[in-house]
Amino acid sequence: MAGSDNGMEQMFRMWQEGQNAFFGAQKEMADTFAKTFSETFTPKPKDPAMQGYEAWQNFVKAWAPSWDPASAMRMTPNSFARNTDEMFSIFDPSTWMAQTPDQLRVILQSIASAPQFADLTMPQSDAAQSWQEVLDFQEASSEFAKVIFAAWQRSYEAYAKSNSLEELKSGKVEDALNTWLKVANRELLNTQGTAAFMEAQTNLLRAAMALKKRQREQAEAWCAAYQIPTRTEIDDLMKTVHELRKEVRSLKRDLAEAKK
Amino acid sequence: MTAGTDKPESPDVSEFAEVYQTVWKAMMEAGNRAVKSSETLSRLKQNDVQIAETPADVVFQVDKVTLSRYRPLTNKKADTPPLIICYGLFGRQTMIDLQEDRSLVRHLLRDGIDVYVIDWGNPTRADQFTTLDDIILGYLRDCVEYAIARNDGRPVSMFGICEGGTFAACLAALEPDLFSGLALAITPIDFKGDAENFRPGEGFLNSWTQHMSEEDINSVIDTYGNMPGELTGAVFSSLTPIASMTKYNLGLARLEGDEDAMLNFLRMEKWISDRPDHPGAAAKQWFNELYRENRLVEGKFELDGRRVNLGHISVPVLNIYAEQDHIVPVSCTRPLGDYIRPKLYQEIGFPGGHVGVFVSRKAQGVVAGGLSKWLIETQKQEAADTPDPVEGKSGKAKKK
Repeated sequence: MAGSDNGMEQMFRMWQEGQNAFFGAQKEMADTFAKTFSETFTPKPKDPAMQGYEAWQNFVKAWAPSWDPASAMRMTPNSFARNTDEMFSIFDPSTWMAQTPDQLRVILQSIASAPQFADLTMPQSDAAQSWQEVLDFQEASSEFAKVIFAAWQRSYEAYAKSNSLEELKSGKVEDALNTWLKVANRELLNTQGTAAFMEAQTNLLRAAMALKKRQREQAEAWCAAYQIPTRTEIDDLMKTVHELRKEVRSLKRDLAEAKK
Repeated sequence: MTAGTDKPESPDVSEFAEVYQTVWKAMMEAGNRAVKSSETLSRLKQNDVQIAETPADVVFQVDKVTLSRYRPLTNKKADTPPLIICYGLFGRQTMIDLQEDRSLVRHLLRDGIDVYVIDWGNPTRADQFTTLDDIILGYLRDCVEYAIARNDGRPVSMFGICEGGTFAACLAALEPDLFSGLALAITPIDFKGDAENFRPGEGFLNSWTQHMSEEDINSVIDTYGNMPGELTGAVFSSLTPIASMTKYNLGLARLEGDEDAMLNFLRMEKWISDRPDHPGAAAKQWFNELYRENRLVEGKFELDGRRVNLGHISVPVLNIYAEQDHIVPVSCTRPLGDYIRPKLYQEIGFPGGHVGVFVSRKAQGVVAGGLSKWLIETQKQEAADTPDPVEGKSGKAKKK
């Protein structure tokens, strides 16, 4: 281990010297870059390219109503530094695909709720129901992720408020890390006790189980088609065995009591 | 830069660089620690990580349930009836014998106590219709009756842990003649507890199940047949979110390659990973009738049509609870005292968490020592009449 320690130290020294030189040289350029970058990405209302931008914005809004594409265009290095919420929002899974477009829902619903015929199979109806369940699961996952993401965001904010950069500069990185873990744990635990979390958790569970049940139905239909015993048939058999076994145990106990 | 300070709004690159370097240095140091742990980990093999090594023999079996009797570790024989240890179905009883210096079983054996332990086996979908009635009035009673037969027909003591404690309390209430004493640890009795005053992180199982409908719970169990061990494992992990997220990275790195510490950690991991599925029908009763409806303390819980009245427990009771238990809050365990005559009831409050009651070093004195002391003080049975633990021969004993 001694050799590898020395190696690590050497590597660290080398890196440190390199970084000092790098940051020294980059300071002025970085300031200029930040200023230029922020101006470059501010949309210009009269620019002909705006037409395309607006069309794109409308398109995205149709598919992901909760996401504001304009916010992405406003993000510059300076705005990141000023507004951490905005920066973190790009990592927020709930903003990616919070809701399926209503039109798709309406179409699926109309197919799934079509009346059944006795002598006609309706594969499209089954498929529409399955699709709806997949969308429900995606939505429930997204809602759950949103609650958890909000908890992480609150953790970052709480940590940033109570812990200044000075603590890190003092070299107590391990202490800073422990504080962060404590803050995050507290926030996650608090979140897990909220009605919003429990609601999202229950909805996710319901959606996941609906999906599992649908998978089972499909697997059983396949089993039935190929003369393979289904899960339901085996479960029925096991229930019968369990009841018989219980009866035998009870009779044996009664017999033993009677013999006493 | 940081809320509450007068730093300039624009990031200062040199300041950033300074902090970046400090953090980088700490990361390098952490990396060194992680390398040490990684080296130790690469030396260790599965065979180096053993748990539940105290020798025991299976003496009775019914379906998948086995009753084992530990071999004595000393010639000393305590003047106490045999003790049956009954763990729950959400984990494995191996926790009581995790390693030689942290083993409740070894502690009891060294004090000369005759110890049995129940293993519920590995339920599969074939066991999904097994109910709490079957478990408590069937399997558990069968095991107790076997031990009583081996004890010349004299009652035995029982030590129920967590869910196993609830089983033991129900059986002791319905069949009080089977027992000479009842010890419980981290056992839920009042499944609602003092929900208004749960501290942060405490009682999630109580509030989550309260928030779900009977249909929601049944839906999960019907889908899988049983309550999958992986699912309950994930739920338990989520009760300590950051500890669960950091145990394989920061946690391991912080052990700095210490082999003993790493083996302790790995033994615990081995125990955690052995999480059997919970029979479906019994899980429905556990979560609906007990957690959601709190039937046990309301006197409405029935097994095989017989109502469980905790007030019928007529033997000495020791109730061990963990003061920082986040899974079974103190307010869920201590209400047992309301049902037992005060002169028969004792408590030990352990300053630790749910699992720490058995695996922490401190627990060996407080919990194992306390249990042993309670058995010897309250469960006297003539030593000369105790069946030979090795040969299983019974003496001509008379109940004291």
